[in-house]
Amino acid sequence: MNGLKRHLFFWLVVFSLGFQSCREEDNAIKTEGTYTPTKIELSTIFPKEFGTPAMPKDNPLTVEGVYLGRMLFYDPVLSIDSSISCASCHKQEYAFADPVAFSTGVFGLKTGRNASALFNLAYNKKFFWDARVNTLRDLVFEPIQAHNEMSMTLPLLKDKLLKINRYKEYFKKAFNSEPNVFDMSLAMEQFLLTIVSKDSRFNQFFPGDNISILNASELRGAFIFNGLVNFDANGKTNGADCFHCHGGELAQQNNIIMGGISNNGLDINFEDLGFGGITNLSQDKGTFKAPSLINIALTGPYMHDGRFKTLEEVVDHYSDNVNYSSPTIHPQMSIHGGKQLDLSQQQKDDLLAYLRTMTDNVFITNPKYSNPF
Amino acid sequence: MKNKFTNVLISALLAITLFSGCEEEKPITTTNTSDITGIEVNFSALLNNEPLLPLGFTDLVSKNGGEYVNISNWSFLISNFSLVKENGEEVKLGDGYQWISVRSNRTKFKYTSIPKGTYKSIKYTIGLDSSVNHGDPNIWGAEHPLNPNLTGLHWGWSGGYIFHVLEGNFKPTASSSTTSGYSFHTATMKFVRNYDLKLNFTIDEGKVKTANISMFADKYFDSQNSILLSVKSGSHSEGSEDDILLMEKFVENMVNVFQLTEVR
Repeated sequence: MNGLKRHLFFWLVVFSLGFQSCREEDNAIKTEGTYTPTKIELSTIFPKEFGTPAMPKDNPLTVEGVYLGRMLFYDPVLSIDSSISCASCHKQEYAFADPVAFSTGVFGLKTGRNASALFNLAYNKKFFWDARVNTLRDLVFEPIQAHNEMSMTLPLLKDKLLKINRYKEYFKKAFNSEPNVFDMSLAMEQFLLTIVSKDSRFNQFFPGDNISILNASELRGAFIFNGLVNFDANGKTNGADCFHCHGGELAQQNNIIMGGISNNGLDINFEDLGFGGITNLSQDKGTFKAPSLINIALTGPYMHDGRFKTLEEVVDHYSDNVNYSSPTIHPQMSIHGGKQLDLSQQQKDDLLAYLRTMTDNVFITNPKYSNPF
Repeated sequence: MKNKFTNVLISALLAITLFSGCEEEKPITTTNTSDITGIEVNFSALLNNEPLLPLGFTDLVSKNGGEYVNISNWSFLISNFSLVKENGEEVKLGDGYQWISVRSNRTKFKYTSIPKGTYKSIKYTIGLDSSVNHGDPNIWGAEHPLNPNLTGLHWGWSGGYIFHVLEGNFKPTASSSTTSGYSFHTATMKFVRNYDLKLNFTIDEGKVKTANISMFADKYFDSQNSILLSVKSGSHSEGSEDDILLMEKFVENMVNVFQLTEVR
């Protein structure tokens, strides 16, 4: 009987150790054996209101993979001189954008375009202002190898990662591999996919059945934002038709043809060809990815080249300064015959008030996305 | 001895339980039950009877009334896609939903496991029934034709889906120096339309037939009604009386856009 008790006690201990190994965090550093990473239920990450994201089928989210990706995102080891991390130009307090027109890379070099904000990426199918990559795993290699950003070579990066114990541990836990750049890109893809901004007042209001959340000015702004351009006899319009390119719960059009990539009348001659520089098609010249407007008050300066310092300047552009003769301007913008919207100051103020409801203060301080070091 | 045996047995059972607890889920294998009796449906976009290729969207083409147009976006949602048997019985294919986008080169789809026999038409609706149109758009899977993140064809707010989009640029005459945009967004239950494209054909055992539905873009502007973009350059199916009237003309013309030209 004592023997049986001893056995039961022994297996009770083994059981608890076994369950320990199934838990999210395993504190023991092991590089031997095979790990089974802990899968993450998508419903714990993505709100139902945003719809079903198209997740990569070959890279399921795991606790270990996401954490590894988060470490890598914040680690300057990814740059040639270990001075710059992804987070150097994508700062959480600015919705992972950079408050300067052009970010500073290694050796003081400047980037060529404004750093994009990073959130709700799981719903996107194209990345960067010129929409040049289709997956987040491909995205991460671009700044790492760009000479004016991290200027890193992939063989050197692998060597650097191999020398760091925490990466030996976490590549093993996440992928059962030793550190390598392919699994690095998968881990960073996982982390980027989990960055979700969903707690702005706009997102509480959006379906339109919770009007009391907005004050009078914000509500008027909502109608201007979601109203079609329709000039009355006095040449005034109640709607600014922002929603065609920045609509829905995500405040973004993710279908590239429906306005997801478009020319918004910034220039007549294009110094930067944008998407046209990728496709070499004349109809794509001067077109850029239309960003989500969630957190827009945090992500200035604005446009691909950061030309507008404030949100007020952005609204002035759409109201008064659109270049309707720009050769590839989106038809939806020029449908009203090239007439400027000429919004009143009150309309502009209301629109700005509505845009500011899109700021998600929970998101910008959420510890799930913060520096793990 | 008995105790020892019991201990060993308990140990073995516990070990099996423990290790199976951490085992990864095994993939579910399914038997392939599809056969090859089916139909592939191909929507061919034409402008002035010339194929409208995804890469050829910039040239302005003359249309009746002297205006010149191009097409930058041509996209629509289909529901109730069915084949109609000789006796009038309708065979709904799949869940009946499809998304066509000419610019994205998403212009064909295939159904298998269709009853063999003689059919007299292909039927579908451009638009959705009211419960789906005003239902929660977030219930659809990532690749489903009704997922707004895939198609961009949802107005958000409480506006429901956009059923059909035709957009592009035009200029009033060949000598006009500048172009303007035009945009027709067909939406709201008022503008849901059914199409019944008649042509006798057979579905044969062990064969996949190809149905070609030609889409004549010119007919949007010039068929039952003449639509001059220089008079009014689009409608979003709501707003002023002029907007509603123009969309009514547009959807009347749509009947002439689609033609089932062959099934082979």
